[in-house]
Amino acid sequence: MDNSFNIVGKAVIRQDALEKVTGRAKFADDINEPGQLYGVMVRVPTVHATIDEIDYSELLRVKPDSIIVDSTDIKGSKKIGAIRQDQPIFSFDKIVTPGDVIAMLVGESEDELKSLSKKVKIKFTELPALTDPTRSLEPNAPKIHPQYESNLIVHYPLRKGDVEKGFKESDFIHEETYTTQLVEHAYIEPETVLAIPLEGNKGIKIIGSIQNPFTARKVVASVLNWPLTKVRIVQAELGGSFGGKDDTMNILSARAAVAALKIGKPIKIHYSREESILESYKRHPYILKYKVGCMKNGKIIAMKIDILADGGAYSSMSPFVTWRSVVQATGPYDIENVWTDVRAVYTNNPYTGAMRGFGSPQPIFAQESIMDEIAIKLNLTPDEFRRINGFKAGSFTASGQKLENHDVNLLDVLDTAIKETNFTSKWKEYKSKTSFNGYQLDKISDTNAEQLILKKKDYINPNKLLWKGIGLSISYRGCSLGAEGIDAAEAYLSVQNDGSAYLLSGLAENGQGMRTTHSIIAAEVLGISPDKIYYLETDTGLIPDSGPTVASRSTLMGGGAVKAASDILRNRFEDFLRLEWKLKSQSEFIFKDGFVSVNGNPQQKISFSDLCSLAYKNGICLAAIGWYKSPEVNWDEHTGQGSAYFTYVYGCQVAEVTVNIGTGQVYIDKITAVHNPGKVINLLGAEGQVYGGVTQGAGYGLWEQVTTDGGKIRELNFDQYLIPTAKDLKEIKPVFVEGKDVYGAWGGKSLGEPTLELTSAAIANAIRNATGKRFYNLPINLEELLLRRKLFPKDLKRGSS
Amino acid sequence: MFKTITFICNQKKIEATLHSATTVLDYLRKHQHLTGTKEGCREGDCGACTVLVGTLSGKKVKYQNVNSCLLPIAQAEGKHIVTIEGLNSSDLSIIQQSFVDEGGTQCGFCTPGFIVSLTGYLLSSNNYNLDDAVDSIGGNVCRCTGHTTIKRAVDKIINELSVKNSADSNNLSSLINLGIIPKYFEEIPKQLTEIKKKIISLEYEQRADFLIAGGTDLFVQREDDLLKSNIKFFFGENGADRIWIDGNQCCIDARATVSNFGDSEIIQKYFPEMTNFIRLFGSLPIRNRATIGGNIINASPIGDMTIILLALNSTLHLQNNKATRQVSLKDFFTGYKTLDKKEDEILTKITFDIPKQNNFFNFEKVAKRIHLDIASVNTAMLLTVDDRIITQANISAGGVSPIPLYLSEMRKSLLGKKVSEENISEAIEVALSEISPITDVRGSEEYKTLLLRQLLLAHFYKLSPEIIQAEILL
Repeated sequence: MDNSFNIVGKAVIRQDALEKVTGRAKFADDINEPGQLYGVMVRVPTVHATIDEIDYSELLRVKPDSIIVDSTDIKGSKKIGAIRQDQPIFSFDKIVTPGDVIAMLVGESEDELKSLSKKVKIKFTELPALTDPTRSLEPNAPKIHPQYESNLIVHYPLRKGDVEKGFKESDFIHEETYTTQLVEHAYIEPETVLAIPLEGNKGIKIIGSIQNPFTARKVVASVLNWPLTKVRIVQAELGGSFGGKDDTMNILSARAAVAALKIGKPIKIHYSREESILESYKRHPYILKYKVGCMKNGKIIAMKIDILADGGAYSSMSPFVTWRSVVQATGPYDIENVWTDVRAVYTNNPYTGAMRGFGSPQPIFAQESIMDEIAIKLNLTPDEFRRINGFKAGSFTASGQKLENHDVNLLDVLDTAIKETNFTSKWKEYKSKTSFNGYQLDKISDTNAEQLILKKKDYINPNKLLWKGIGLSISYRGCSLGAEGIDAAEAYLSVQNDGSAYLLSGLAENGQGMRTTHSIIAAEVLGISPDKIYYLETDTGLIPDSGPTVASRSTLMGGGAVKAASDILRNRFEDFLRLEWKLKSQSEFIFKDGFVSVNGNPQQKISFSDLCSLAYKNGICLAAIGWYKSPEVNWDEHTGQGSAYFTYVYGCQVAEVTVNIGTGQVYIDKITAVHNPGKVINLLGAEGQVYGGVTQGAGYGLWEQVTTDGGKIRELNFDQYLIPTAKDLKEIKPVFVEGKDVYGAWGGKSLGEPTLELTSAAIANAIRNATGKRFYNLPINLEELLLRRKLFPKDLKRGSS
Repeated sequence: MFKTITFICNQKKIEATLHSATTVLDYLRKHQHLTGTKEGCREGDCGACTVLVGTLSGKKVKYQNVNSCLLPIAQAEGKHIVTIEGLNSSDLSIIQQSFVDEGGTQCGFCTPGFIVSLTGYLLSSNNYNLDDAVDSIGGNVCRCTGHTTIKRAVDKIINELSVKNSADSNNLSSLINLGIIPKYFEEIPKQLTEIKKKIISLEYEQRADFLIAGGTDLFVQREDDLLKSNIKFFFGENGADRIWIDGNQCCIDARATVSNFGDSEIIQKYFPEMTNFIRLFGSLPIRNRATIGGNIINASPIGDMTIILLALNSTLHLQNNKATRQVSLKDFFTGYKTLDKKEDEILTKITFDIPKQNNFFNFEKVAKRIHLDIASVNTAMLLTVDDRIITQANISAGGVSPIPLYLSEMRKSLLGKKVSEENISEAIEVALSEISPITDVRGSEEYKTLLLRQLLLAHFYKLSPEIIQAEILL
């Protein structure tokens, strides 16, 4: 541990832990407003159709005073979207996916509204459904949004060097195709929002499970055609988000706002799990084709990548998600010749957007699987092969960016993981044991892979059913938004004359522990305990727009802003003390344990609270605003070249598994997660990020999958959408290898997403090590383990039918 | 179907008139504004709504953790319902404190459910250990912490309590002194005794749209219908006396829960492995509510309990207001979800022969996710071997047929045969010819066939390695 810090790097308990363990924390659905009414959605059971007529006559006959809200009530933007405005608040011209909402009924009883919603008769003309993304760009494919030329949402090319020349010069070429699945965020709290019209001309207040209050505000204001100031978004305690409470919540906020203003009463919308899974966006399924040109000495000299992402029915965050993919698709390898194309397309499937990892878990699964296959081909261990090609200081990324000005410690991270797990000897031992029905698995080429299928006649000695495997994966990750957009954040710190302080940043607490991390940073600078800091509630009326809480940027950007505000105040205190104590202008101070003393003269000191009181009496302003703006980054859209991100983090995860070769069950024995997050601010929070991210990554690798039947989701609740339980992962070991950086607070960068992106690839490589079989599709399921192919069911029943 | 229900909610005695199928979750959140109990899935798969249900047993109250989203308010009658708010006092409980210290809460939405579940564990166990404690939270899911800091918190509590060595779940005041529960729990047994007197006895013959024992599957599938229907509840009061011995028969009250079955000393005596098998059935809060009778009547082709009882060659005792009759469980299922049961008949009792010394019993299950998941394929076997000759064989298989299947052809193939590689292989081939698996969400036809084969082999290997040498399976 770095002794120069008082608090930073230690395990600090969460500031909000007390209200959370007592059940007193108020999540959106725990908040009620007198006289509030509920909003219930009206949907159409179809995938793709034009809406001919919405007929409310039967509803009005049954209940003449029905309150109906639909697109005709919208005075501003009827469709919204970050890049393309293609997503309606209420559908009025087309249905493009089963989650689409035509109208909302408002009333006192949700149960009554649900049965009334069936009385709305919608006449529609079915259109051919497009559910296969590989068909999206065919000339005769149904057009999802006719206003656009084709179903292409975005195409990012990246061209570096001469890839064909590289392949020609290669000793051998390795080509493989991988696929990843649609997955759900599965935050345990379903979506809820409450819109409250304010008296007079004060506008509207919206309280909800909202990840990005400023984005929600922008959407609501544009839908209402109001100035931003009249829409005030207050974030309730957020019951998990993982990137998932953005677009959906912005739209729900807009629906609630429109209804609340129409009838002048507070409106609550509260989703069931089924509605949440039905309507909310998911992680993009990818189809990834990789072609790698390699020399006998292990040096990769060319890589060609073709990625197709299923954006589903709306463009949402596809342009941003796939941009991160194009930057990082080669993985952390210095390759002279690269040719990458990433495309996102429309289909009638559930739409896809931001989810923890954001366009990185998919390419990492493919690229790290391939790296192991090439290593095996070259008779190298996975780590040896990665050492030959992995980034070092001064390496160039695929976009031609030189890695400098920070610790490029990828190989230190890798070495730490190898030592920590005794990787190499285990890997060799397990690999040598993989024989199956007399076949030596690693000697079987893919062409006769059918021999591996467990035949009806085959069975295995139960003593030999359990096979062990170990596998690793490595990654680099650009921090924060990069060339995606403007990247700056603000923090407000107001010290009171008793030495306590209010703190607020423009980013949001989504459960990740940001409030505590930010408080630690301010407390460290001012030499006080984090307990002295009171974190204010997130409210768009109190703090400037600091962009969304995404891209693992709250420690880096928000932390940078908090440190800036704290430094301003500290400098002000120091100037004041120099005057007050008549010290030389170069004299320095120590702020520690609630006291401020002169460096070199510990006798000359004052308690922080007395200092605050004294400064206040002398008319010193005790509040400050800190602003943190990222350095310049750049990107050429045509060549995919440029400095994509201003700094990077590095990680390596090692998975140890046991595979039951008789049943296909995979047991995760241990995941060792070695990460360089820059500087660890709160050890407890950092460990928490690793545990959670790894577990989600394991779910992505083995169990989680949303499947669709003709565009309709089958897994609408947790009986079918299987997320890991407390019994499914035996051990997770976090290890931090800190690296110096000039950015953020003391170089504290990113951790939340790197923890998730590596796990499925490490598990896939461990299963390969155990069984000798390569798996090309996520999730790796036990059925595929045995049969080497996957089958999808036609229909589903609930419960134990 | 409104009913006045009397119970204690935390410290408060409540008399409420409600539709008896109203879930306790809705009652707590909407009527009592106790919002610490969260709604995450409404089907017993997330645990965010976990509450404790305290049942008077003699002079003591026995607590179990239960999913309030699947708990009809009628079942709160005469009980102590404890929510997270009912565990709060001026100081944090040791569980709450440990969650704070170890980072066991992140977003905090699932946290009350975990704390309630663990409190239930500390209230109901006499031998604290990490495995059992983690099993008690097997029905709670957290998406933030990966459960690791939660397990760290649990480990710390278990260690602290074993150092103090004074925790005794039979002694309320010791639990209060240790900071596990608030002081008012002392008053609950007396208060429940007073309420208890008013409980009306249950009448078997009363007609209703729905007759509900546990309702853990029915509330998932048809909650909306239940709220509009005439419902007759059919739950008993005591756990311990629901399983008993009568002559050479083991008898199970149809209302016994899966937990009653697993905790029964009788079952543990004759089937020492049963505790481990039962841990693969749903989660603890589900096992605390799901009944043996319900599992059979629900007729799921993959009901774990039914598969076990089939291999025990159980007999069902059916009753209507005129007569009682017996039917063998293996003949009870006549087709997918159809039963040899008249509409007015009620399953009251299940019986099976107490196993003998030379009996071997085993259960195997494979599910997509190892825990808290419905089986792809499950199977149980009870084998009697006399002098290496198979004299009795009952084998069941789930997930491979429209009904929970009794493998009668396989039985015939094994009877009178010597335990040998050849005979076992032959019997398994016979078994595979009597199944008809279909491709569904839990696996393809081919996969299920392979699984069953593998699991049947596992029976023979696990049950009697001394008889079946590992080599014969090679």
